[in-house]
Amino acid sequence: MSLQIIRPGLLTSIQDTGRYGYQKIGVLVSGAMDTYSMRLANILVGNNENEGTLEITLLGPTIEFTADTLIAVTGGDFKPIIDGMPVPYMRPVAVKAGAIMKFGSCQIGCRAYIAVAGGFDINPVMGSKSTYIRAGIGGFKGRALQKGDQLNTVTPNAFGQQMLSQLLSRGAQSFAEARWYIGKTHLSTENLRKPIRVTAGLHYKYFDQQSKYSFFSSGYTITNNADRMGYRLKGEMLKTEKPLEIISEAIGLGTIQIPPQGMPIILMADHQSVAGYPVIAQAIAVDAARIAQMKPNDHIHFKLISNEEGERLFIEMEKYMENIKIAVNAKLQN
Amino acid sequence: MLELDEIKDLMQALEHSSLSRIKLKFSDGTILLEKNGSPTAAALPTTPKCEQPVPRTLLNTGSEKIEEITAPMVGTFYSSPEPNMPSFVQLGTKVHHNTVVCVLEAMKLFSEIEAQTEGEIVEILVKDGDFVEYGQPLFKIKTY
Amino acid sequence: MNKKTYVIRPLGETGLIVTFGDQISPQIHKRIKNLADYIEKHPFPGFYEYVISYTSVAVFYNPFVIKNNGIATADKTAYRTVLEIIETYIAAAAKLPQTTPHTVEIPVCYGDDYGPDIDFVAKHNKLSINEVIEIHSQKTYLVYMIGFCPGFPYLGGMDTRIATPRRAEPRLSIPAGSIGIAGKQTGGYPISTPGGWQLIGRTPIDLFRPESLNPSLLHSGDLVKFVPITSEKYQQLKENNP
Repeated sequence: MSLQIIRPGLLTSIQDTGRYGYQKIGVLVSGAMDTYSMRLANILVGNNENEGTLEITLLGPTIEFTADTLIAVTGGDFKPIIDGMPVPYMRPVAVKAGAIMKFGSCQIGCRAYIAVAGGFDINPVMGSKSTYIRAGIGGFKGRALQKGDQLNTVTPNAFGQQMLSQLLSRGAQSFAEARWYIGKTHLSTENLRKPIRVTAGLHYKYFDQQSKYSFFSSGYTITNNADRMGYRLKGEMLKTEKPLEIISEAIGLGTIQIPPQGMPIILMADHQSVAGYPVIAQAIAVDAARIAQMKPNDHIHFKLISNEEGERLFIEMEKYMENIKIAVNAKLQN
Repeated sequence: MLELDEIKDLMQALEHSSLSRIKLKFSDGTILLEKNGSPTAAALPTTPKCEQPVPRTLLNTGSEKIEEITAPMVGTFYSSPEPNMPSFVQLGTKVHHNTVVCVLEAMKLFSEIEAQTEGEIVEILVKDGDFVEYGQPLFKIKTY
Repeated sequence: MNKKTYVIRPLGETGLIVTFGDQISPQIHKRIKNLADYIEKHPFPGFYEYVISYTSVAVFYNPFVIKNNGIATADKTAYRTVLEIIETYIAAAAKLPQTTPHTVEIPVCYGDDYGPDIDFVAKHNKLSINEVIEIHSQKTYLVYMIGFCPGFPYLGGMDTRIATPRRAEPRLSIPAGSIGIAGKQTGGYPISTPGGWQLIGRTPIDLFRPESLNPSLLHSGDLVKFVPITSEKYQQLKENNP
C-alpha cells in the first residue's frame, strides 16, 4: 500500500489518456480532462505517459503516503503542502512514508494531476485505468475516491527508483523535490487568457449571420453546470436560420452543440458518442485541455481557425511533448 | 563527511579545473579525488548534466572575497520563475548556499541554480533570455 | 464513373465523418456497417476508433502519428491522408461479399413488476396486454447502433401499432435489463439508470459485462428477437446468470 485517502476532495478519480475503441458499444472515452498535464505528470516520474493518475477537481484531497513514493503534480494550482511546506509542481518530488499531503482549493485552473512512479496497481478495464463513473467502469472500484480508500502502487522502473533514492539521500524531513522542472505550458497565465481556438462545426453554415457573429465576438460565461461530461455556457443566444432535422451523429471532445434554447454546450471527456443538436464549432484538442482548466463563472472567447491550422497546432504540441519526454528521460537517466 | 551530491559536485569541479587532485580531510575521514586516468573521473557521465555551480574565487583581500557563480550547464538564463514575476535575486541580495539565484532553460526543462556560497550579489553579468555557455560567469558575489 | 454516394467532412482536427445519406434505413446501415467492419480489419497507424450512427461513420485519429509514420506525404495534411485511406476502404468494402447478420434472442418476461408500463402502452394503443406482447415479440429488430450508455441498442423496425410517447415524469432509476418503448423506438437498459421510457418487460440476461472480453451482448448490425418467458423462467435464468 502506498496512498491512503484521508479526505477525498470534491472529485478525485483515476484517469489516463482514455478508453479508446469501445464507443461502438456505448462506452465513453473518459480519461483526463487535461490530457497534456496528465501526460506530463507521468513523464516526470518515468512512467509510460498513458499510466493512470489522480485527477483532482476544484477542491483537492488530503493524502497520506504510507511508503516512500516518487510523485509529480501538474495542472491547476491547488497549493499543496506537506508539513506546512509548499510542494512544487511540474517536477519529480520524493515523498517519505508517513507524509500527509494537503491540497487546498484551486487557485489557478480547475484540475490537477498526481502521478506516482510505477502507477496505481489496478487492472485496466477495456484497456484503460480511467474511471467511467456513471457506468461504474474502471479506475478504483469504478468510482470517485472516498475517505479511507487505500491505493497500492506498482514498483517504479529503474529511473523512478533511482530518482526516488537520489532525492531522499538529501536527508529530507518529509519530501524533497528535484532542482529542475518543466516550464509553464498551455497553462501559463498568458495562455489561459487567450481565446479558445475552434474549427467550424458540421452545421456551422446553417447558423444565421447574427449567431455566427455573436459566437465569436460576444464571449460566454461558464455556468455552474460544468462537469466532466460537458460545460454549459451562457451568453448571446444562437440559432440556425431554419430549424434543422438532425439524425444523431458522432461528436467528439470539444464539440460545441447548440440545443433548442440557444446556449452552447461544450462536450468534454465524458461526452456521449452521438448527439442530435446542431454543432456550431469544434474546439481543437490543445485548447480543450485549457477548457478543462476553466471553472464556473470563467469567461470564454472563441476564435475560428482553419482545420489545417488546428492540425498544425496539434502536431506542434505533440512535438513539444516528445521533446519534453526526451529531455526528462535524459535527466532521469543521469 | 560529504553527501553523494556534494562529492559529485567536487568531481565535476575537478574535471573542469586545472587541478589534478583534491584531498579533503574531515573529522571522520578523508576524500581524495584524482584526475588524469583515475577510474573515478573516467566513470563520470559524458552527457552534460545540470549540477550546481561551484563558485570561483576572483579576488581575495583578506576577509572580503569576490566570487563568481558560473553556469553549470548550457541554457537560456532567466532571472525570475516566470515573466512579470519578481527576480530571484537583485543587486544587494544576500544569498546563502541554497538560495536559488536564477533558472537555466535547456531542452524545455528549467534548472534552478543555487548560489552554493554565502554573500551579497554585487554584479549580474547576464541578461534575461541570454544563452549562456557552460562555465560562463552569471553573478559576482562578495563573500565575507 | 459512379457518382459519389457519400460525403466526407472534418470532425475537428482529429476526426472525419463519412455520411451515407439522410434517412434511417437498413440499406444505409449496411454500407455503414461494411465500412466499419473494413476499418476494424484494417486499422491504420494513428487510428483511434470509429463511431457508428444511423447515417454515418466517424473515424478518429492522431494527426501527429499520421504525419510522422510515413503514410502522409509532406505536402498532405493528416486529414487529406486519412480521407484518401477511407475512400479506398469504402470502395473495397463495397466489393466484399454480403455477410449474414448475427441474430440474438433475448428472453423477456413481460408485464407485472417486470414491465410496469405495459398497461399504459396497451391502453394508449387500444390493445390488450397480450396483443402488445405478441406485436413486440413478433418482429425482428435491427441494431442500428449502440450508445447512450454501455451496451444500449438503438433498435429499428418496431411496429407502430405499439408506439407510445415517453413518460411525462422520467423514472429516477430503471432496473438493469428493462425493455421499453419510447415513441417509435424500442430498446433495453443494460445498466440501472434514470430514464423516461415506457417499461414493458425485463430480461434476466446481461446486456453488458465490463470485465468480459466481449462486453456487449449486442453490436451494430445484429438482429434481435425478443422471446416471451414466464416469471419462473426469468428467475431460473437469473440464477444461472449471476
